[in-house]
Amino acid sequence: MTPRDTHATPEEVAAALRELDMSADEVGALTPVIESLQAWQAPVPTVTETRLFLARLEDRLAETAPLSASLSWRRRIALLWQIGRRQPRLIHRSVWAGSLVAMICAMCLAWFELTRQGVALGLFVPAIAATCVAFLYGPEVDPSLECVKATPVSLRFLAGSRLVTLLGYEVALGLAATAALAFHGHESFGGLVTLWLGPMALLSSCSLLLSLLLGPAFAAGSMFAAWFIQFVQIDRGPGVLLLAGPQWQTSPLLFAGALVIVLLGFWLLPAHTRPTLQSVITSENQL
Amino acid sequence: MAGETDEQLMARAMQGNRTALACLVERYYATVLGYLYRLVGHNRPLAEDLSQEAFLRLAQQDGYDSRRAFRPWLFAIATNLARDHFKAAATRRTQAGLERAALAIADVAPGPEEHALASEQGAAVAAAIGQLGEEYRAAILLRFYHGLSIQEIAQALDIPLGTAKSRLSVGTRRLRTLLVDTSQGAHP
Repeated sequence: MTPRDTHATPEEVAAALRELDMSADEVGALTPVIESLQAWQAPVPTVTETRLFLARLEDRLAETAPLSASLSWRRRIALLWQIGRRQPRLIHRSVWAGSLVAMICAMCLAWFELTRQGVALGLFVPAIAATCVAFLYGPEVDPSLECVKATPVSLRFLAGSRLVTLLGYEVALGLAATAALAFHGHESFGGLVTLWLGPMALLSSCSLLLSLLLGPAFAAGSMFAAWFIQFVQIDRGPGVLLLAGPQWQTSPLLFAGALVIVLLGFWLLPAHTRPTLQSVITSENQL
Repeated sequence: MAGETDEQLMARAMQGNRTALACLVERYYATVLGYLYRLVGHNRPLAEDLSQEAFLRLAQQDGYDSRRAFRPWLFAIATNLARDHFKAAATRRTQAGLERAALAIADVAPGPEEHALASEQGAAVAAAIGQLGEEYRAAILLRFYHGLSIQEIAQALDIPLGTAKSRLSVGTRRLRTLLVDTSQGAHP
């Protein structure tokens, strides 16, 4: 048999059949069968059809080409900015509203001297941020995640832009509350900020990692509980809240730890296929 | 580029050379279209879609080993796409596909005597091949329409050499029975 689409001679067909360990009788009987196959002609595209096919293929390739291959740096940055600035809309409204309300409550506690300013800020600001970050990304909190995964944009980029936006919002709220309380209580603004900025970074990064591994509810609950247990100590006096230990004050070490944990979380992100309760139920039903 | 082997062209296409890709398309579009047309059973639009998908996959490859023969590899891509299509449309295809094949056979336009005779024979062959199992059909198409060796068929279908041989052997015998049945049905 020749290696192209050409008509084979009877001798070639017979040779091909003998290769299949057939007897002479079988070869004789089957040779006309194989020869008759040539009667079924497949469509042969014309030169124009081939060119049109190639043009359509080029279009498809352009559509599916990765961003880095098809776009200039300026265009790529502009596109990523467009995508990134739309991410806050995909975070649930209750995350934004909830952290605002919680921050106002924490500020009121200090404002009306129900607790000390340092306690209110150091305890609540990191805990609120960590809770909100837990609900940043994942199948449980993002109904459009399946659609997002189908796009050619990096999941790391999407989650990163959401994280930056949400942490920016939490820092802004924290700074506003700190400024108000510092002004009200005549305390050092910088001193108050150091009480919560480092712990916020570390707790939020831990929360992100746990939410990716074990789910948002577990991440939020465990980080909130861990921070309260670590932060709140019952002194000899009746229910007096003490500040966190000095190791939890803002320091380069805390930021470095937070960065390492965030990088670990982002490294895990593309392979993140933790089954949801719904998917487990669905697969069991299918079985 | 005309003098370059398929493997060399594929290596260039993998590096983003669109001229090499165009050259491969020109060399193999008709072959792939013909193979898929026969494999999916008389459905040219579907064969064209699958052909486009096959060349798209080929263009997006970044792990092709140029020591590997190109033709069996290309047929492997096309066969896998057809298989995916069969799986996805399994329930729809079994009944509707047979009906469509029967309609296609019935719709052969009458022409000059030789043309009519060839069309009738072609339709009978198409119907017989359509009734073979997919695994036998692919092996027979690759061997007797596209001239692949048994070794190349084994590579393209990702099966052992002995299995390729046995599929060809069994498929050819079944095809003979089917063609005899068809001709007896047509001329009782």
